[in-house]
Amino acid sequence: MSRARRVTERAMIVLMQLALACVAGCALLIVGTVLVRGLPALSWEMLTHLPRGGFYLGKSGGILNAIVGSLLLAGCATAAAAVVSLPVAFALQREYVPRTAARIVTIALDILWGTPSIVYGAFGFMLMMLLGVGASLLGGIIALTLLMLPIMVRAMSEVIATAPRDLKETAYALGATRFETMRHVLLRQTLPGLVTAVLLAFGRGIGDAAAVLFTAGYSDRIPRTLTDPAASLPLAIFFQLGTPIAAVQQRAYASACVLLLIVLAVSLLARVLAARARRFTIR
Amino acid sequence: MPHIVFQNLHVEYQGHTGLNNISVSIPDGQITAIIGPSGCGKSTLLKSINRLLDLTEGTRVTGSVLIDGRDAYAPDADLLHLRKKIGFLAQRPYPLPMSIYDNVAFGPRIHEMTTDEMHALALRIAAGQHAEPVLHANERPCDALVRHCLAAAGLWGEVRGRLRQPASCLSIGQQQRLALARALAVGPEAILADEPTSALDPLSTQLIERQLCALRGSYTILIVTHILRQARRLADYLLFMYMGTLVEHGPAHTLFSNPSHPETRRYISGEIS
Repeated sequence: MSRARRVTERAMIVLMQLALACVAGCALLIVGTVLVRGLPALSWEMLTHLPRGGFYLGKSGGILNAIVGSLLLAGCATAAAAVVSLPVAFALQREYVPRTAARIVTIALDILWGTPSIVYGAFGFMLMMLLGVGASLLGGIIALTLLMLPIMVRAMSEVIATAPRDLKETAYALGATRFETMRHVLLRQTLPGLVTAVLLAFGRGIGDAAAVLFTAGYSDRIPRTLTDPAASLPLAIFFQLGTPIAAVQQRAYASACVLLLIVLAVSLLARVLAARARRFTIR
Repeated sequence: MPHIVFQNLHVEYQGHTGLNNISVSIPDGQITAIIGPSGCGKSTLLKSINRLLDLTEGTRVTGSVLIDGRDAYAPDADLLHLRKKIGFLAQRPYPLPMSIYDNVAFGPRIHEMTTDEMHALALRIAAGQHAEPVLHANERPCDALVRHCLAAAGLWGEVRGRLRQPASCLSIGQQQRLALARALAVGPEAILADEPTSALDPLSTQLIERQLCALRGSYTILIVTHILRQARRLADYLLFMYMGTLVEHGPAHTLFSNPSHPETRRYISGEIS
């Protein structure tokens, strides 16, 4: 090998290692800052109590309203988005719709993916106004579902496209219909990837503040019906960081810790489920 | 057993000719080997029978494939029934992403076979194999069918204690025999095998060949192979294809010992491959 090729090879490897270190460093810095500043303020009371009068001025209380609100908003929106996304992702495969139609839908989804979440919030707000409903849990769920849809559909579609063509041929050769092939073969084969797609969308949804700002509103109570306003962790962080009181600002980092832990717990659960599903997949 | 006849079958892939005006009748209950150099249209001819060609975009088929006198390409042809009647073994075995048991039971379940149908099919398979009584005490018909299909594919002894394990745990040779069992479980009358041993080791190849020979007489079997020795071992009847054209066909011993066409002679002698 010539000296120039050796140098290029070495330089590229160093560059890749630097890029990797940079990304890992950023992630560690963010998580580290949140943990270092948030953990001291995190208490059992904060996790299990609703905010009391003057909570945002440094008095006692907790963020239970935001924890429950976020779980309700993101959980329901993820379920709703998954129900719509799965058939759409399958429909985008070559066998189910004409290629031109699939391309048009894919482009539309890519545009939606890049749309800022405040636009979804504004659209959701307009929709709620039309329906005559104020800021509510339902409004937040609709806005988050719309936000998650393009992410989930595109991720699911990519996963389904990786299923071996011969696997589909095997099912068709046995006399299976396209639906049976989708339901019994493709779904099982791609389940681990589909779980990851759902998780990706959940993570995006639970951490979004802009989409729920106008649609879900904010409340110090836990919503009892779909028309009640609902608090969320991103907005709790936003409001707490906005105060000039240092103790409240520290609570914002504690709330961020809770958000991180929820995402981590859901991620671990998804990995366990995906590992179980992977037992039967064909590699 | 279905009688398979190709009539002026012409296949084009996006303007490129895959098969050129093929007309031939396949003998019932025998093993017919389709031989020829790579890219000559062997697999295309095979997949035209159960219409797996439909899955390839831009494919245009003219002419007909008659199965028991009915054209598989007629507008009113029942595609699912056709594929149920014709079992298929692919070049590389693909177990379905489920257990060994569920792989074999997949076909009967999707075709909603009744217990009577499953019982009758298990009987038919057992009779072909001269196997033990069809139903054990307290054995469900589906279990009996799975057992007999696995036995007919020569796999029962190796998997009887681990039917609920993922099929992907099997070796590739076992997976190919599982594919055979899975195909038998829908009650086909013909079996198409597209180079079924090309991914297998010699021992697994021998086992698959042995099972195909055991099924001769009960099923019409068409096998695509580029291994001449395999065709010599298995085939009763031979089709030789070259560049999308059926050059010559006839009883295997005649074609091997006295080929009438120069291309066939050159292929058999190893001049072209």
